[in-house]
Amino acid sequence: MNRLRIAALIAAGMALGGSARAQVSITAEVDKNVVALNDQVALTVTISGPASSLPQPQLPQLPDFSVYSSNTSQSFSFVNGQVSSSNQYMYVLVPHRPGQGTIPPISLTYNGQTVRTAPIQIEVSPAGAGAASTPQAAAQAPPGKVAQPQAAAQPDLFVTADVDKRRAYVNQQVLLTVKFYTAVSLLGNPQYKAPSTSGFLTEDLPPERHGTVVLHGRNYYFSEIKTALFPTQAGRLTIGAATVAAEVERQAALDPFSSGFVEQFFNQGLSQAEERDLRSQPIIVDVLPLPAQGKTAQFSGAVGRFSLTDSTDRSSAKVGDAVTLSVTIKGEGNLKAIAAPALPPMPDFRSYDTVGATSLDKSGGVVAGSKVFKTVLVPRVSGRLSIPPMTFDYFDPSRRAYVRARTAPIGLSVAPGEAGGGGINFAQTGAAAPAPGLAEVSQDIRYLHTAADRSPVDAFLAALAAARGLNVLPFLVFGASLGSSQYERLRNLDPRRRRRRAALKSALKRVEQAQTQAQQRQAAALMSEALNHYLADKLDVPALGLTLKRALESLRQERPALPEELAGRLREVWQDLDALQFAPPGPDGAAAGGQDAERLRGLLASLDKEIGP
Amino acid sequence: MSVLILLLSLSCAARAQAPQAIADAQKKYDAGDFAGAAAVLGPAAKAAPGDAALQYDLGNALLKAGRLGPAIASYQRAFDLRPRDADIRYNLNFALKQAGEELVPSGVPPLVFKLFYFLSERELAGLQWLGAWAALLLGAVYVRKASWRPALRPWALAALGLWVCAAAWWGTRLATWPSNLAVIVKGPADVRSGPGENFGVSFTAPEGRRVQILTDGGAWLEIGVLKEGVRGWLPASDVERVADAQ
Repeated sequence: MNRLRIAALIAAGMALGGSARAQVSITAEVDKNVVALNDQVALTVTISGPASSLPQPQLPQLPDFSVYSSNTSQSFSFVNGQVSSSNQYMYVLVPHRPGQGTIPPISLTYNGQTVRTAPIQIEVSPAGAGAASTPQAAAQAPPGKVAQPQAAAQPDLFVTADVDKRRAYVNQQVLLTVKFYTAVSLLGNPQYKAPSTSGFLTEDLPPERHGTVVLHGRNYYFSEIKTALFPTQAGRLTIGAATVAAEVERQAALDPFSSGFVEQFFNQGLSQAEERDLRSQPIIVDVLPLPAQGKTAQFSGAVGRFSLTDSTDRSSAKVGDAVTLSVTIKGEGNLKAIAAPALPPMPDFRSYDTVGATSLDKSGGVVAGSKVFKTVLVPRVSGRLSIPPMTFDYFDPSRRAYVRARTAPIGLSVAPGEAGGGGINFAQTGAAAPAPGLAEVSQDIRYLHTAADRSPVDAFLAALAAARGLNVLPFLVFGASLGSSQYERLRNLDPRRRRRRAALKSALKRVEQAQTQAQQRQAAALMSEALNHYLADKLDVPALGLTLKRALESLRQERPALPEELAGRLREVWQDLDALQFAPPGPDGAAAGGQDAERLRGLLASLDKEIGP
Repeated sequence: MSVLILLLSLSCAARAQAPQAIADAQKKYDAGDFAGAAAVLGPAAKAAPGDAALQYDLGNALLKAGRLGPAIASYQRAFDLRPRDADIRYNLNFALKQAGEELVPSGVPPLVFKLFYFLSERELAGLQWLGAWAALLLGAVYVRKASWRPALRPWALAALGLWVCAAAWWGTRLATWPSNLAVIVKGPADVRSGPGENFGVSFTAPEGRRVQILTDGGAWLEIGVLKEGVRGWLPASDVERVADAQ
């Protein structure tokens, strides 16, 4: 194709003396600049700039052409953190008349800057022989070439509208065809008003088709406009009447015998226009709701026939690199309304915003094409990673069933990242300059604990906490101790009784001390003191000055039934100890003291048993 | 004391199976068979509910297998057993973030949280009982033996201090954290205004969100969401109790 670039590119940054501001460019190009009247010109307007969202171009008035929007496409790139995108808008231009046509500058305003293209000149030549022509061209053609003998019952011009199906599912394409027929010359461009399509989304299907046809023996020139309709709701929806307003030449017969013949003769051929308003019949379409059976949670409303593919722009990368995942939905249906399929969980990747680009092919009266969703994935970890299968659910009207399209998993070999490398560094987000040290490249849970890590102390404390009944024991021990202590205290409140209770113990202690004495006199003195104090404590009398006689009297007062044998033993021991205290020391005094100690212990035990505690 | 020894021996017997289960699960985990690893660790963790490593590993396997709710329940059990373990804290916080929560509540300094949760409730209870044993036994001797009192006094006071501090810490923990904790395992769960489907849905709660069971109505539970402080009813099958395995 002899494609001629006629575009102009104006950067706003140039006007600012090379400042670093974002620059947007716009270009316009046509596939040919010489075109026949019955042919068409493809106009492509391209807008590029460092942003993900760019405005649409503003087309100027094009009086020399009929303009139809045919396609748009979008591309997006994300390299080293820089976003750039390019949008293409394609139009089909049908010339109105032969001669020199002009496409005026197409302008675009972005961030206060206005950029525009240069005007494009198109030379329109007359229609070629045998080709379809516009109504005006047909009217100018020799009558013998298009005119046929007219059937009297056929109208001179009329409009029809029809759809390819009267019953459709929600969001299933319905093809509306509006045809304007004329068998007479038109005095100007007919004014077409599209029918109302409330309840439908519409998609124009250019280009307009023209031609000739013989109906009921009469030769008609026709123009045909096709529109794809997508019902948005269930129920009986009405497509309104399509209307065409056209001016035709009034057919006035000359009567040579009338009084006004001369005036009529000379006026013939001048403006005798007659305006005709033509309307098609409204059409009712019965729209069925999508069946509930088989509808999945992932179904987002897509109706038609689609296929799903995905790919990555590379098969290997490093941790932190950007990998572009392209998911393409291709097929027939309302592609513009298709949302991005949900990404499956990918914990090994960070994912960034999805950008979609739609490419439509409207040939054959069917809206088809593809929609590409691009997602930037950044591996968090190294290793052999896998991008899980993608799925896309849609309803196929021909099968009257929901269908799931599925892709295969994609393997990706990821090498460890380089600190401070060119990839995306999350740790440096917002930082003025990269700092040396660690850069976070992934977030994941920590690894398994490969050994039981419960310490003996932990186990002991846990067991202690679990032994609830056993824990009563220290309370019982403490309570018993406290109780016995209190009991002792209460008992010791009476000094006489306390003295009586402690008498034997104190006496035995003195006897024990006596046995440690080397001198027999001292031992005898201690034992005599032990006996004296024992009796004084028991009888509650002073120990000082206690005589044997008084001790026996007090004993008999305390215990009237005191055995005589016990009294005799007491007398004997008392006197022996007195004798030992004052006897001259012998060579084996210690041994003699030992025998007396045993006698004294026996006496004390017998007395304590008789007197009581 | 014999009861204490018996409890210790039972605990050790259950833990004897843990190393083998961990080894088996590790092979599957390393091979990417996370569901298989969870299947091995699940029964082992149930048999040894006091083993923090098993609960932690089970949480890892469940999280990798895509089961966020049960993973958080396992991590929470591991945290309850060994709250000072850095890995357990990290992974629990990692999982909680996916459920819209964080381990350290907003407004609480991390250091304070770390200190407050340095010991587990079980350890605090054990420490409290250890202090009680020591203080009471020393007290019993102190009361009976007047002559030993000067030597016993510092030890008895130290034991009493341990008892009081551990009991206060333990009591504060019990008062500030619900014992009947559960985790939503089916998300988003419809939380209704009453115990049945004839009551309207008040709100939905995401999987993994920690809740407190307020009323156990059998098939339906009244729960309170810890973070937002709202309450409602949901089917008992939608939650997993954290304390079940212990």
